[in-house]
Amino acid sequence: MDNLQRPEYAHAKALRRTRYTVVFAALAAAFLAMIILNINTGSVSIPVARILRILFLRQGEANEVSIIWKIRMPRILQAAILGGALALSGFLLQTFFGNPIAGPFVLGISSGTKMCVAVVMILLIGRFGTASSWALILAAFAGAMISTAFILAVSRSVRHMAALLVAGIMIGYICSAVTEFLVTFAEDSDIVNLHGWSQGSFSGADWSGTGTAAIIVGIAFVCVFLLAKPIGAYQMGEEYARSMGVNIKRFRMELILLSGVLSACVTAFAGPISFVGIAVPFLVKRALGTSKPIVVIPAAFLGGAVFCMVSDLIARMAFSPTELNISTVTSILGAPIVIYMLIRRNR
Amino acid sequence: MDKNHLQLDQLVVGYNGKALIHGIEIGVRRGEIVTLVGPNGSGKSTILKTITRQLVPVGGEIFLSEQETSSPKKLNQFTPADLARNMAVMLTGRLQTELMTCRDVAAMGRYPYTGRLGILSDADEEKVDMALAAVHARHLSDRPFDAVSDGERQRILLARAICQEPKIIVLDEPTSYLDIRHKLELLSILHRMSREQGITVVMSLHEIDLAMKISDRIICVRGEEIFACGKPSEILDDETVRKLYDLDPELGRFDAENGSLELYFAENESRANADQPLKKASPGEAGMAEEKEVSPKADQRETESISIPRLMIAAPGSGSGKTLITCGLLRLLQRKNFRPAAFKCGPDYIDPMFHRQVLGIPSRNLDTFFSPADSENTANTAPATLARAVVKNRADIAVIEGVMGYFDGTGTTGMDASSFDLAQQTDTPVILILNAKGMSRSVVPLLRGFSDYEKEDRKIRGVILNRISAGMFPIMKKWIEEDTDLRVIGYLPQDESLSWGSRHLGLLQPEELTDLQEQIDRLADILEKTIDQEALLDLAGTAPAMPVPSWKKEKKTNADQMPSGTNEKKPDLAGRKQAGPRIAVARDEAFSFYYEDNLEMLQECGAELVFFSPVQDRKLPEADGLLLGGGYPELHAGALAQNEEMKAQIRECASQGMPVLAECGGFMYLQENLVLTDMEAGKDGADQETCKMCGLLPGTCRMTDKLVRFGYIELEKKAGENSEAESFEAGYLKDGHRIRGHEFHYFDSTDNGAACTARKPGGRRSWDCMVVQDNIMAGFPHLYYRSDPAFAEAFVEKCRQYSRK
Repeated sequence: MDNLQRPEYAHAKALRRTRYTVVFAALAAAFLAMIILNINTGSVSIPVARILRILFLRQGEANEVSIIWKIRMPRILQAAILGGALALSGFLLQTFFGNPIAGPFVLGISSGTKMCVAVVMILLIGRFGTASSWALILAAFAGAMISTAFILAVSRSVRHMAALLVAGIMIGYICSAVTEFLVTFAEDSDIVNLHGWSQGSFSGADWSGTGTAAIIVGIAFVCVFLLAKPIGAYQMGEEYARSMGVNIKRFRMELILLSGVLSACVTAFAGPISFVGIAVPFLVKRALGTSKPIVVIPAAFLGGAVFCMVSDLIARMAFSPTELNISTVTSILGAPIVIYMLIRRNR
Repeated sequence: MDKNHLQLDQLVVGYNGKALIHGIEIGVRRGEIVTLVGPNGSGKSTILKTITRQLVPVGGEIFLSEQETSSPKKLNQFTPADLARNMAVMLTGRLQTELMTCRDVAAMGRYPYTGRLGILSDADEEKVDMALAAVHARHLSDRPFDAVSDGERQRILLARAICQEPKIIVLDEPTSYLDIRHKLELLSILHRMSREQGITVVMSLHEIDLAMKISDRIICVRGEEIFACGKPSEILDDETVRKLYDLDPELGRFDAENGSLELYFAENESRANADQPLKKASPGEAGMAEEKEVSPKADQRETESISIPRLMIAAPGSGSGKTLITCGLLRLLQRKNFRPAAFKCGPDYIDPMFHRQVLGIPSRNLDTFFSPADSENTANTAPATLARAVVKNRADIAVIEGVMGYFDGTGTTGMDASSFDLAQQTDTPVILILNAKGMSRSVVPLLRGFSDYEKEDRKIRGVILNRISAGMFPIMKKWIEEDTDLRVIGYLPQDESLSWGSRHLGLLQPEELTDLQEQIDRLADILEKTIDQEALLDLAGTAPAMPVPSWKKEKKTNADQMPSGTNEKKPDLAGRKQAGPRIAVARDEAFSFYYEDNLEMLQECGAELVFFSPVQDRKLPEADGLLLGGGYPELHAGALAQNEEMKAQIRECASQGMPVLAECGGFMYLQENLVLTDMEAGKDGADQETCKMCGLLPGTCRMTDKLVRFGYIELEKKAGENSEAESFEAGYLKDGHRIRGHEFHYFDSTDNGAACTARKPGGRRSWDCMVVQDNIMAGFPHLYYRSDPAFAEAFVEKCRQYSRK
């Protein structure tokens, strides 16, 4: 029986492995391509040769070095990192709620986070004049947790996922309204910061911010990756997961916390960005042909990074010098994908 | 030490702290298959969810022991990972598995055994393969899980559970979405797992028939407590299922023997359409079942005749195998989903009790001495009695067991009260049971002789040969059918194991009952092969419509509601102001001889019967009258003697004027002493000599070595000159009335009473009997109330008067 078995599943397994490799390779290639493209693009044109020298040899004109290192690189990296974080956050929320349309933006978590950050920002800047990124992150995290708690409370009373999404959208509106309210009555100086930030843009990226983001997101990524096994079990439903040995209470906590951290991170640094969390995991799963977390997690991260970098590029260059709101771009790219997803499901 | 694998200890289950079911106390052994059955919403899933830790128990504990040798641990002390290695589940409800393939889902079962990242090793993959092979789903491996059918999904989920290598598997309605084939496959896999690998299976099922066949134990869940728990054969009978699911008896019932659901209207239709699934005994006999209406329900309207297929089983003499074969045939009819009503020719109590208790078939006595054809009381004829019983029990076939020899009647005089007489009066076809051991051709003249002796109105139509070999049967059948016009219905081969011992029946012990039932089942198995069932039914069907002179004239009161064959105590009718008087009837292992018709008669007069046990009960129930029948008080004399409270109560009630009617054993109980001789004593610590009875009546009863004043009698009140007749106002037998009965006892009393004269039929012998003392009337004679309805009416009326005091 052995000999008859092995070729069968081994064959299928090999096929799958091949597919994964191809997808990952494609993603990596896209990643590199985007970096290159992004570096190369800007209002100031710098030839490739010089870029390379600046990057690897740290040699070149101070101006150009500044542009590359201080402006473009951080932005690129931040886009990549935060894009990945968004994708992961979305993936976690989808696992948690068992619905592929769940995502931080759509559930209103981003908006709640933003509101909280706005409050803190206005308070802090009003008092102390500055707001360190850590303070903002903490505020964002708090905001994310509060909004998530709210969504959780709602999800207990509603049966339908659709109702949950509607609730999320409503929360989003409410929080936006509050934020707008605050903006109306805030000092001009505060507003500038807030406004710029709230637009959702990577333009404010700097190394310290990016560095912080990288650390946080990096740790979160590892944690999520280590949760791959229970996430896979959880895909079969809470009861089965429990019966297989998953500590459900702890697991759900971990999911929510990690998702909150990731989306708080993004919101704190770049404001609310929509649809990445939904579109990317979906696309990645389709490309890979599987929803196995151990494969999907790294792929989603890469995919998110690529997606965000693409969006950022478009946001920067489409109507140069005017910079588009990145949410706009991600919406234009992501919403059709989500609609397509919905149509497919109903079939 | 046989520790239970899973132990539910005073478990209370429910949601959100609210208890749904409490007091759950169940131990499941290793490798057992336990099934929960019960109506929708009864809490089966709740119990299962509590076992799998999806729900927290509201109270109590669950214990699980990991290995055979380890001690049980509380369920909540297991870590999730440990529990996962012990227990796997299979639940209802759809899964959202996105892109998971079937194999992915099955491979999930390896969760407790894979490493940090959940990557499957080769060994794991093999186990997944084997699990998929076990459920015949290997070909589905690469199909997406949500793209396969429900049945295939269930199998994959089962494969997943198998992969988890559990020691106990819990399934919630695993067969719900499956067609028959997959149901069987799934259950057979579970069965294999249980038997070959010792995996314990706990599940809930809706299909009772499957549950019965696969489970080692069944737990019935209904209401706030576990309804019943035990082996399927023990607890799943028609009655239990009816109560469990609240079935409407008008619509149908659950036939526990066949494990099938019977719809009444469908039953009648199918049988009336001659679509009978019967087997023929002898091959080569061509012909289908005729279009005859074999089983219409008896005509219930008030008409002049009743149409009911019927048979009498008679014999040339005692010991031919009549009783054996009758019981076997009754069981056979039961199996074929008939509702037989059994009857016994003659006054004997034991055979009807046997039918009722062992076979569960309603049975009563038909006696043409008690119920003569020329009776003025037209409700008391044999056909009327038969019709009443058939209608009341909704029977579709009647089987009468004959008595002694076919033509043997009331002793010396004619053939009155013989089986022949009864067959004539009820116009019933007769099958003769012939003990043909040691005979071959000589059966023919024997049978011709019997047949010819009937002269014009031949009732004997068929014969069953007892104690012959299978080889001889075809030959003898040929002879008989050539030389007589009898039909050979079949035979019963010689089988020593098929005889039960003394049919000395009180109330049977459960072991005795099961024993007897097993024997009868075996007998029925044999008869199924050796009897031509179609011929049997055909013969029964040739019975013409039986003219019954206005048998339904009396108003039915309590008689219709409660079949008096049960031991149930009637519920308290405090609310019903018009309720009739209550009569306490003694019924237990010591007192069990009652004619169904007697009890029915009392109910027709408006009385309500409530049963009690002079042996067990310490108190009389609330009643307005007391009836003590015959039985075996001598076998329980010690217990009766020791039950002082009961005796005192009886004395007190009697002294207050409560009407008392007692016969034979009951009469003995009311007297002062009961003297047992050596052979009877020692049964329950009784005094070797004398047991004190109620002491209500003077006299001592002593055992003799032969039957005393045995036989049919007719009772009438003595002309009133002597002293005992002075208190005759309280007697129930009116002047000039005669009531019939019989005496059958080995005991005799020093004071038999002299209120009445008993006369044997033929008028030659007579003697005094019956003690009448204020409100008490008692004596050795067993009376048949229908032979004098005024008697029963008088008794009930006295009880009514007493109740008004």
